[in-house]
Amino acid sequence: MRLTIDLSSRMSVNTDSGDVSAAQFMGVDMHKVFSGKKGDWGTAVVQGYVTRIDNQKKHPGFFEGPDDWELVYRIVNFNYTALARGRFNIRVGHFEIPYELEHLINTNGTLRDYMHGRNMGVKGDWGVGGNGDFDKLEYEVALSRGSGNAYFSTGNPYILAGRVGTPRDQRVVTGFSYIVGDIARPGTPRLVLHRTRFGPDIQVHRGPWSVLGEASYGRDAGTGVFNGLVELDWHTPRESWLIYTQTRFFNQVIATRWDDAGSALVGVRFAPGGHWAFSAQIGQELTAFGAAARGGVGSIQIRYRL
Amino acid sequence: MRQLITSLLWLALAAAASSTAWAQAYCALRDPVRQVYELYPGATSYRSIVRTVGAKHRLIIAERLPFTMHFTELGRHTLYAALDGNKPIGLVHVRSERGQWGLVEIAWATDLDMRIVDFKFQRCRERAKSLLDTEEFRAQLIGKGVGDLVGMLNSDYSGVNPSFLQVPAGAEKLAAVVIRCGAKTLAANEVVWGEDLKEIRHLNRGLAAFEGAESVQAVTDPYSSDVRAAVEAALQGVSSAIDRSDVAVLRVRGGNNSLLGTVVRTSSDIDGQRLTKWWSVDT
Repeated sequence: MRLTIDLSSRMSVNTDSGDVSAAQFMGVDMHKVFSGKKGDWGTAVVQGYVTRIDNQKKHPGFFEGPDDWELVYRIVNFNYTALARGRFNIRVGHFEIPYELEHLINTNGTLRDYMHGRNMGVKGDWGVGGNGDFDKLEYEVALSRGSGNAYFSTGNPYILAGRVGTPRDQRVVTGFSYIVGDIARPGTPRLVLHRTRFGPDIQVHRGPWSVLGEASYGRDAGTGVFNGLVELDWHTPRESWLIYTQTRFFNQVIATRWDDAGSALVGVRFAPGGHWAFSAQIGQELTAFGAAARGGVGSIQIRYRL
Repeated sequence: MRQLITSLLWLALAAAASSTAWAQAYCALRDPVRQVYELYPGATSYRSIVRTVGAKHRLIIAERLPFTMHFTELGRHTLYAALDGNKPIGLVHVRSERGQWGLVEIAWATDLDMRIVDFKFQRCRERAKSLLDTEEFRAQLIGKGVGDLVGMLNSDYSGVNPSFLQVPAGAEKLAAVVIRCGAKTLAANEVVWGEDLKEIRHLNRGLAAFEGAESVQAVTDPYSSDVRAAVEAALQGVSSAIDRSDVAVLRVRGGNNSLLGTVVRTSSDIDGQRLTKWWSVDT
């Protein structure tokens, strides 16, 4: 079994208003493989984090306000692996929705992030799914509750999602993802938001450089949406330093015509050993929908795993 | 200020503790499923054995090899035993070695006597990868042990010795990375998973010895007083040359827990050579 206490502290500054916010995460990260005489038959991952936010005006819906404590389940699931030599496994519990880059590059607890929030509004969800590896491809499909961190059925939300792609350890990785669902929106008249998305993702790794990209087309309650992201990475040979830049674009039908917005960010992560990781990131909205003000955020994070 | 104090308190608590950890969240861990079944096509499953590679192991490996692990390589690692039914048929271990452009991850298949069976690049960003991902290069490593691999490196272990390893032009640096990685893998498997390997070897020998074998159980005290008396009576004062501190006796059982026979491993030192023999005795 692998068991780690994971502590991190994050501070962010809104570069326009000067507002300072903070988030503290203290959790347990556990990984256990279950084996019998005839081999492994399952893997459990449990990541539960007591999370404190202070002055977080934009926060996930499961926090009750900008200053709050919450127990956040990042990943809590069991993957049954004894069926078909890794070609068909069954996962049950709380897992990341299998969609585009986030499915391959885990960003739970890091400043670096992809577009799950923008595309789905939830990152992890409670449900059941199938996953597996073949010689030339891997896949994961899942049917989940659509309620995110907490399991509830008000409004009967659900998410059906899947990604199929080439093996993630190659120098060029491509994939295609699809989701459809009624995603929980407590407090809104319909209680759910019907969303669809589909699109490709790609990673190209050459020497110390990587280029990653994803694009999603779909609808939010019948309204057209087209989002995308391009990331350029550079790392040192021991991979203790990572520098990345992201350019994000958002297109949405607003009052019968397409409008667009975009943002860019640059980040750095220094992980000198097995325990510490220091990160910093600064992002700026380049264009905004309609007449909305453009904002920017700078963040730093210290993380320690013991 | 309260936020800052809280943050510092948490981090101070963390810094006060010390253990091996994994810098990446565990949800990112994935078994080398594809590599295990490519390296052992006859495997029906595999069993993970997770152990901590600690500073003491690093020192022992430094005594066996002219180079050792970097501190960042310490932590919890997995050795995979490829199984045919419940019989171990080989081992797979994935190691990372620093390359020119990032970490090179290689899945190594070894037999139970710590000889190379094959390898697969799991993750490699070096251009020279395609030059080494060939049957010709692989063939030079198959069957080799730790000493053979170290002998393939040059005097400062940064490159290869062309007298013992043929490498296509342009792939010399990556070849040295592969060889160092392979030597560390063989050494680490023996040093870190030594007790597990003993069990795996026993299971392999025991299940292979008798048709219908389903389980193997080691006898904890093979030299009981009764056995000692019987051996002395049989030998009548003549030395058997068997090292009694290194004897394993395995009871092999089949269906309904029926005893099929016994497997015995003996070791002797003859003319300075360690000679190990396996004996199968039916009921």
